[in-house]
Amino acid sequence: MKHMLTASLNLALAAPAHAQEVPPWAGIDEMRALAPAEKSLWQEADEFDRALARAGKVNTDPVLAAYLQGIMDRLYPEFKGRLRVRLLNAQHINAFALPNGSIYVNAGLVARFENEAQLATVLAHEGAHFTHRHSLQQAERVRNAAAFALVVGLLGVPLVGDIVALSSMFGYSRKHEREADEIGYQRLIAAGYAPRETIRTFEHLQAEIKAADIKEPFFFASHPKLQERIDSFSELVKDADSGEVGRERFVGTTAGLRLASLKADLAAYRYRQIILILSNPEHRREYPPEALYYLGEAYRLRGEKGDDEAAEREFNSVIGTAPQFAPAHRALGLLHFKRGDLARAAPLLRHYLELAPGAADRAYVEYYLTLMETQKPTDNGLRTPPQ
Amino acid sequence: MTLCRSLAIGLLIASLAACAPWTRVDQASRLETKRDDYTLELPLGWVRHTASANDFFVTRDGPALNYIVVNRQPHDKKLPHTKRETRADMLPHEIAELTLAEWKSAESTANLEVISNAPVMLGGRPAVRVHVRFKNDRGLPIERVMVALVDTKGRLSIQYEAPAIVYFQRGLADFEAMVASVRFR
Repeated sequence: MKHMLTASLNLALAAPAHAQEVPPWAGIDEMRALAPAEKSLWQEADEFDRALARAGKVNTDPVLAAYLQGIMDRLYPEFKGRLRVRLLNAQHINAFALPNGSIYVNAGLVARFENEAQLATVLAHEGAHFTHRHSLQQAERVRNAAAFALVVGLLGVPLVGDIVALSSMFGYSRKHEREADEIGYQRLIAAGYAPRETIRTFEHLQAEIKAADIKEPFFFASHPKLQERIDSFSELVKDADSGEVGRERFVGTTAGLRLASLKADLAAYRYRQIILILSNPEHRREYPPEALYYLGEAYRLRGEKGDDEAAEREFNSVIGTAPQFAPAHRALGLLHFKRGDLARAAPLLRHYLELAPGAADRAYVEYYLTLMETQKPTDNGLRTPPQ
Repeated sequence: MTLCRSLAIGLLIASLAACAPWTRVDQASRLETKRDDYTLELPLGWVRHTASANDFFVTRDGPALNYIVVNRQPHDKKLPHTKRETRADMLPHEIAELTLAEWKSAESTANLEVISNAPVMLGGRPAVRVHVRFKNDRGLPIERVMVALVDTKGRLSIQYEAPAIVYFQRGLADFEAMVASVRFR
């Protein structure tokens, strides 16, 4: 039922826009006196900004905030102060623009990229939605969709009935998305970024979608198909000059974010994404040695033939290169424990507790160590607790 | 016409009242046996939803303010967000890990904070107790605690959830007593 409703809503949103064409913004000065319809949209967007902040979803790291804003200001210098980028503490790959110039990009999306030019590709695209006033152009269309959503009581859509949220979450029309691709591409070149990275951006996202076995994420809900975009950008970059990739700056600034993203992916069992990222040698060298712990854990969770051995290999690799990294000792100890190899498990788990005396899972590890000391393991690793 | 409408509305109300799915838990009805599986004592004075698809669903002040839900599911029923199945040989920390992964995969609880997570006993069997806090869509802090285990029959979970302010503490002792009352047959 939900799929049917979602499909209907998508259909409503995909219908041709009847709203009149409006000229793009030329600069900030034009925005001083908004027409009532646009003013109302901006007010809704302001409220949406506040709701996201209240919910604690906006990342407050000042270094990351300044970095993202710096890229946006480089892409759209005449909109400095109006186009404001915010990082959302969310892992699914998504980015969206609000009518008031707020641009949101999910941490999970940033973590998927290899360099600044790829990140700039997405920001340039989202910025174009604002400068070309796509929200206003499709307001009527979205309003109808919002009314429809209210009537059917569609569940699962955040802030259902909120025009700004619907517009942002479900994306713009294909026509607007194409326009945002074109404008974004021009901005990218004008800012001096390497145009060839646009293709890599969409290739990453295509691989991500395949690995996660998900439907088109919100960011692509009404976008042209990814392969179509890869093809059209490939054509565009044929004759383009080279530009800045910004790999080192990106890798340095986002190191903590990308590592936290691996941790968040692991905590939510998104192990396929971790394997996708870290089994790629190009990506792997952007991470510190302990990142292979996450790869080992991802293999363990996937649990396919040979994954147990692959996990053991990665854990041993981390212990060899970063012996003070406690989680690798725990993971390897538990792996031996599951196999019933208590002689190997116990010292590793004890060493883990020495390295991480305040570990959040200390109670579990102590429980297993007690069991190992008081009884022999059974087939499944101890169904009977100590008395 | 107005009389007809009034009659129809009256009949509708009467029929709804006749099959009301909510009943207050009293001394006579608190001890419950589920299949040939387990028994537990529902909290006195709470209201039980008798038409629930769960094993048990009870609330003290209304489902939006607090509830306890008990679920027994077979291992091969995939969890809704992670799409994972459970297994009888899962270790306690793996159950907790999967529980948290399931919650973190849901949009509404993705940014949860773990307050405590430890092995416990449930009806004399190894289980886990996971206590988290998150903000709902309106920014209201919510606390949730779940006690869960796996065995050869599947997975069993007892979950309590309420707004962190006032309501969580108000029902917590009843939840703990309910968990302590579980006996496997």
